[in-house]
Amino acid sequence: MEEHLKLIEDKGFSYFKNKLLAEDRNFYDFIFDETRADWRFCLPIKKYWKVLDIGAGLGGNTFVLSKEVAEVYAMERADLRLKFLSLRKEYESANNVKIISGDALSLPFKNESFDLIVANGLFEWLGVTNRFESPEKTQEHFLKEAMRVLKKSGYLYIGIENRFAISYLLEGVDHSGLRYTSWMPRFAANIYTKLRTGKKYQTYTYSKYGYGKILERAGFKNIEFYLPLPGYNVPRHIVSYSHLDGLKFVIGNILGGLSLRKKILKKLIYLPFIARLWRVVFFSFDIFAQKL
Amino acid sequence: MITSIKNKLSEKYNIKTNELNLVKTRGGGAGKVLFFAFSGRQKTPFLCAKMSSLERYNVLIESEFNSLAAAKNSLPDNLKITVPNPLELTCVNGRLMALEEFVLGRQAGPYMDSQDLNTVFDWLYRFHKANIVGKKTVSQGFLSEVLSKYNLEDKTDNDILKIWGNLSVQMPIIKQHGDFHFANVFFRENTLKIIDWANYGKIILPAYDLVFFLRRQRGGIEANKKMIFDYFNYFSIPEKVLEPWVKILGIIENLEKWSRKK
Repeated sequence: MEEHLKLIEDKGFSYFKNKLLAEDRNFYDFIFDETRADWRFCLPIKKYWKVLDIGAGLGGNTFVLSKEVAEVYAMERADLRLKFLSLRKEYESANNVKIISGDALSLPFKNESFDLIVANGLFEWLGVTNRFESPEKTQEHFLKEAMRVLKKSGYLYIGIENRFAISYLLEGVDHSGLRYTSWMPRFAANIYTKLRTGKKYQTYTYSKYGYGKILERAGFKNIEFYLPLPGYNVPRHIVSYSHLDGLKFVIGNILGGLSLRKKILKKLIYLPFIARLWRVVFFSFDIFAQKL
Repeated sequence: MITSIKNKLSEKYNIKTNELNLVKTRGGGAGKVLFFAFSGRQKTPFLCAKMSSLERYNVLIESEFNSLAAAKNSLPDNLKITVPNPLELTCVNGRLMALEEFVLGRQAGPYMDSQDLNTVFDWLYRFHKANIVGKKTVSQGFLSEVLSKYNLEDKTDNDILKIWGNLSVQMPIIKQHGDFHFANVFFRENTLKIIDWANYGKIILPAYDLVFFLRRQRGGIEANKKMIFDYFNYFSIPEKVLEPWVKILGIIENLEKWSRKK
């Protein structure tokens, strides 16, 4: 990040953008591709909305939303990212973006301030603190804070991995930096992580059922799940969790790729129960919940 | 947005909103988001709704819808079926939304067999024949005109320009599909369905679609040269144009990519 910032300061944001596009397309898309914020189509976004993007990162969601709503507060803790956000704001002339440094567990806003809160790739990291008795309690506390600053009828959006994603069994590494830990019972994951890294297991993710329960406990209603493909960071396709035929259609007809794995998946998805089972071990979720 | 689209479709097609399902997807072009609409327990969508991803892209949706209608009108009756029906241009929460017939079928790929390739080329010849809009004497001036459209004059190889300057032959001007990629070609019940007409008519270089298509086929242009020769014969384009022409088509394609990056 320091290198990128230096380049922007020396040669300008436009130069940085072109260079990144030519040299690292994936990272470019991660920052600038508006598809990243396509989850927004699941919401009834209004022009007068005031939005809080917590853990705004490099602004992948913030600057798309700024073109849709009245005001976006981009909250971030890391200094370098805050600097990047400021430079990007200037480059994009996004005068309705407010960049702030703040703590997600103690949101620096009055009650009922926002129409939408965005937590994209944030929720699992909230548990990495010793301020509460467990990661789950910390995450619950965050949800209550979100509830507090949301206006009545406001929405919370969470983009996050599924605890029981099949990819974590096949090749993926959990947020702990180790394999398989999300699939283990929490106490076992804790012991294993302490033995391997000397740290507690705190990056809790959940199943659909688990996310539903924790959101309900915080008081959220109308909780809806969507399946983003290939993942919540690049949701090229978004299918409602309950729409199995839609999931089959996406896999069978429009998901690209010629790899053997994809070909097998395309055949398998039409077998009875496979789509049903697959969504249970799906990679990630887009979750929407409302304060009523 | 999904709720608003559902309400719109529900009203239009007399389907209860709770029986409507939408799958959001992204097409190739920027600024456009696609929603496939399913009714009840249907396993395939009954229509495709193309919407601008931001209000400022509304113009793209309108232009694509008009291009689709124009392409459909350009074709003889027996070929009209190969182009999806443009249904309606409507507005949802300030965004333009183009409703189109959904095209289902077996999508073409980069490893097509000769039978499928022949079907595609047969369609392409017939489509191009229906889209000849005139003849022009090809010269350096004509080439400059084409290249200047893309601000590419300075970036073009001098040798190509020199060859071009000495050609001076008559050439048909043919409206092209403009994005004739295998992913936009579907086979269904012994016929073809061609989608994504956003660039229809913007490019008038004969054989552009053919070369664009062949570049992505197994073996590329080299392995499928015969198809290009056949095309040139079919449209009575002098053979001496072939080599520089293919080179120019290559430039235009790179240019298109370059423009998109910009």
